[in-house]
Amino acid sequence: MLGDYSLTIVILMAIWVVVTLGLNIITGYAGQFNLGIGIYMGTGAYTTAMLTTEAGWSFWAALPTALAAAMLMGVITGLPALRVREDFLATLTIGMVFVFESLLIYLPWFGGPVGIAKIPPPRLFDTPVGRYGYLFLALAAALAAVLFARALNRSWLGLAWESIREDELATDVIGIRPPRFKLYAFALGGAYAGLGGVLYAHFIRYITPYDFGFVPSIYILAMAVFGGLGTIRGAVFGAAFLTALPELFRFVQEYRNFIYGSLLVLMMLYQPQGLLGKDSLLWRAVHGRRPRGLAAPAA
Amino acid sequence: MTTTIVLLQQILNALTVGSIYAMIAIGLAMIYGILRVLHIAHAGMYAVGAYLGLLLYVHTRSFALALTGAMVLTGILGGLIERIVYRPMLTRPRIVALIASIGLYICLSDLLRIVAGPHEHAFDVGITATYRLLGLTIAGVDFVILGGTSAIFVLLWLFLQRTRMGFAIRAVAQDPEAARTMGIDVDRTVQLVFFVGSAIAAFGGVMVGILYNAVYPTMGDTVSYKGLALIVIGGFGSLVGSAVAALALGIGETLIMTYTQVPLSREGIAMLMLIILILVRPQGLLGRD
Amino acid sequence: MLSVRGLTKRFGGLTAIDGVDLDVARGEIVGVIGPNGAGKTTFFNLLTAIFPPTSGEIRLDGERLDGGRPADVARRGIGRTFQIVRPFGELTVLQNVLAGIGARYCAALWSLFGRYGRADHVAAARQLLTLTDLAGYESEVARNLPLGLLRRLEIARALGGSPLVMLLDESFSGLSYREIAAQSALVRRLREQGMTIVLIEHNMQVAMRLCDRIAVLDRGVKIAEGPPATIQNDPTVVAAYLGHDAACD
Repeated sequence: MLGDYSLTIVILMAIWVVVTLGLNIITGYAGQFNLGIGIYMGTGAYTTAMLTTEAGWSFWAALPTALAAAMLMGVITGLPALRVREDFLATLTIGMVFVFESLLIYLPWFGGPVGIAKIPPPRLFDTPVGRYGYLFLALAAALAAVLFARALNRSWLGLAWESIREDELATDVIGIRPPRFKLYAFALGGAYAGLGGVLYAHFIRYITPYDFGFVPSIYILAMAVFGGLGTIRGAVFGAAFLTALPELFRFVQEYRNFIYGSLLVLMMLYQPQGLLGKDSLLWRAVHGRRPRGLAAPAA
Repeated sequence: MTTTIVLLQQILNALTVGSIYAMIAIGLAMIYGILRVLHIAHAGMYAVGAYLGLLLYVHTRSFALALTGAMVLTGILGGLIERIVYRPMLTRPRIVALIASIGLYICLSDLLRIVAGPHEHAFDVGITATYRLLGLTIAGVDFVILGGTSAIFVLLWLFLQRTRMGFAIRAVAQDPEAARTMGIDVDRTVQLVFFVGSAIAAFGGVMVGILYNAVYPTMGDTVSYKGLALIVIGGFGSLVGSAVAALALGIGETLIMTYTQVPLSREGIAMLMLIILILVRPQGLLGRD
Repeated sequence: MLSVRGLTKRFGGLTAIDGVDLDVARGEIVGVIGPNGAGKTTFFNLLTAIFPPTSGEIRLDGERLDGGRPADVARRGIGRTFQIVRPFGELTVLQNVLAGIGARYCAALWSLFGRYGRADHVAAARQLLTLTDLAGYESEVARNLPLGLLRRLEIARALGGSPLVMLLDESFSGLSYREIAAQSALVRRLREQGMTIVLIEHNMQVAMRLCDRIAVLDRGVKIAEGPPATIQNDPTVVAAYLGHDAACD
């Protein structure tokens, strides 16, 4: 049916969709600039890698543990983030992801710069899940991620996040405590990215600290921003498109950084709300000038 | 006795590195001070400056010409970037400029790779003299760097404090609207700041290229995000603070790396200091933001 | 209802508010006026715990109010608008009001995940929109609205929390004649429904016509208090305003 190569691309697309949705929660919904989403993806990936290789755990047991670890990391990094805003916050997150990457390289327990290899595939009824099995797993995870994100968007939690993003003081004054909700955003966004990390680790089966540092974090930011920050459709489209692009066009792979970089600059100049973001040219063309209301929530 | 010599030698080396950081930091601080933009692409100016210096040297065989040419050309590039990329973004939320700056930097360093190849180029201008002073070895290059950076500091200080353009820059950094009503051309002034800052960055790039005899596309990486740490540590927009922070960072890094076993790279150390400082004193060492 | 005793706030060397006492009875409309820089907005900021007082106490229905965070004050029943409007720009009018209602659902973990678009929530929000005459605008994105509508939106949003006391900070500034009349009618409607209102106003006519009582602040100190007629003719009040104006020349 699907060739091996296409299979790989689709699985990777699903993985990056999940991670980007996580960043979308923290930065898109709650408005907390986070340039280090790699921290949570890496926490998820390394937790599951270490548990399944050294401690012999099964994938299914390691999964919830890795998610919890990523969530915890979200809260830990979220706490200092409570004290600062905007530029300072962005800089703080850059600093944190650098330190994270550095610690992974230099602390011996994490396998050093060579990382962790031979991560086992998930097993179902004692047989390793095959390529198609993994495809199903990844797509199921991505679907669940999208549905849960939609539920969050429509919930009081989502509304609180968006209020905080728009005006923190006004949100405080109507009775919603911003610090608590920011931490929720970091925790849930971290969990999402951690899930992506777990899926990544058991698919590629070899992880290094460089997979979760500043540069990958910026790639994910690029995906979110390109598609449209603050929207689910933007995160999904951005992640899928920018994952598939280098695979579909060899030359993009060659000039990847140049293209991503230029893309970011051009997007920020002409469509900072993203290609499919609220009020973008494309989205308005597709939907007509219908104003956003409860009838058409941002999804 | 020898350990002191070793320590002093380390400090000397650190001072050289530190003064380069200070070059970068000052440019970054000036730009932040006047435009409130974290100009990460500044590191791109540093790398481009190194390549231009090398190119000019290869064609003219004159160190002086190569250095000045690189500084001027990079300065012009910096001014263009301000005009084309940042100026249209002034009305947008600040994150937009930050993302654009990161994208710009990634784009620039890859462009260097595409044009000149991913490998290192040698940059040897024949300053091979070394001197011995009190048991310390000082390379001729160190002299040039320390001398050059000191000269630039002094010139910059005089420029900012004693000239009309310098006054304009300080005025715009304080209050752009008020400056405008005084008849200062704010746009032109901002562009000038980018020119000067980028030129200084190019100086840093060329000197580092010569110091380590290596020019390569990702040479900006070390200074880019470290540069961020420097503006924060120094105090967003504070020139003196950033310079002091840079020197301190250079020395601190070298000493920590030589004498302790911290599980962090040089970047990691700088970033850790950055994190601690943002949390403890968000306005930096000398800043007022 | 609301009782303030000896409220003082110092910022470094500057004393912004100095020993202010104020009592507001249930259902009253009290005005706070004074020349620029008198500390009126600082007063509101203290009431809503945006920063803590240097000394003094604030009581709502006898219970201490100070020492908490703005969100705590809001939950106890104080709503407020801002001198410079602070709407949730990217959200629709309806969403802005729903956010105001949302605080009580955001308090508990289990209700946090409930859909805010549920019929009963929307109905409650629509009621507030009708009360503030914003019914036709519910799908408009807030940042597209003119100032007059935004001021009403802020009120509607604050009402979402079912406050006992509303603090209106210069909510008449920048409005046209017609809008001022509509806004005054709104304030009176609120009082009819049992709301206690404290308003800061620069517009003398509005303050005189709407308020039962007026307190006058000058340089952080309350220099006069009483019914509008008394205040209008009080020489200290007139001097405070004229003095300031003269000084500004």
